[in-house]
Amino acid sequence: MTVGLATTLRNARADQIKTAVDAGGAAGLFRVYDGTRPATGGTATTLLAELTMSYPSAASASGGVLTFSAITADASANATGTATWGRLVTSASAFVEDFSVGTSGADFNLNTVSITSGVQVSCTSATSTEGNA
Amino acid sequence: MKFFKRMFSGVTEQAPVVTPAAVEAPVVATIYHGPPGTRIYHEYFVGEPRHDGKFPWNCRVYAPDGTITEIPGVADTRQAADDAAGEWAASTKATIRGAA
Repeated sequence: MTVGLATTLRNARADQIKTAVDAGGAAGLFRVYDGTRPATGGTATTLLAELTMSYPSAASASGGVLTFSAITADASANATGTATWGRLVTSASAFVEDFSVGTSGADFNLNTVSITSGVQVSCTSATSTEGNA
Repeated sequence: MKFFKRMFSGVTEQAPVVTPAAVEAPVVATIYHGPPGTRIYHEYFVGEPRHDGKFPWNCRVYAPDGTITEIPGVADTRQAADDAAGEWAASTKATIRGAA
C-alpha cells in the first residue's frame, strides 16, 4: 500500500535537501552530465557544465516541493553532449542528490539539453518534489 | 497655540519625491570555469557512522583526460571525513595539474 505523508512531513524532508546543499557554507554546485545516469552517487559520466546554486539554495518547501532560487549559468560548457542527468553537490563537492534534467517537466530544466562546448548553459527552473503525497 | 501656529504656518516642506527604481529584467549571471575540456573536479561521499562510530568516506577526482582516481577512507567524525576528503582531493588535483 502506498504511503501518504502529511504535507508538513514532505516539506520537512524536502527542506533537508536544501540544508544539505547549503551545508558547505557557500553556494552549492549543479553539475550536468551526458549518458546513462548511474546508480545514485555512482561514477559520473562526462561533465558537460557546472552551474552555481544560490546561497541559500532555496526558500522553505511548500506543498512538498522545494523550489530552488536562481542558478548562475556556466558561461562556457566543458564539453559537447546531450544532457540527461545532473548531480547536486555542496560548495565543497560533497554529494547531495542525483536527478533528471530536461528543458521542461524535469526536476532541473535547462535552456537546452544539446550542449556545445564553450557555449553558455543556464537553468530555467529547478525543483525537488517529495513523493508520498 | 500661537507658538505652534508661528512654527508651522507657512512652512510647507515638500516630501521628497521618490522615484521608483526601474524594474530590470532578470539578468542571467554567469561564471566562467576555464576553457572547455580542462576541468579537474572532485566529489566525495560520507556514509553513515559504522558500528565503531567512525565515518566512512570516499572521494573521486575526475581529470580532463577522463581518468578517475578514487580513494576510500575512515574518519573519527563527520567533520574529519569532510576534511580528509577535501585534502586528498586537493593534493590529487595538484598532482594532475603538475603532470599536465
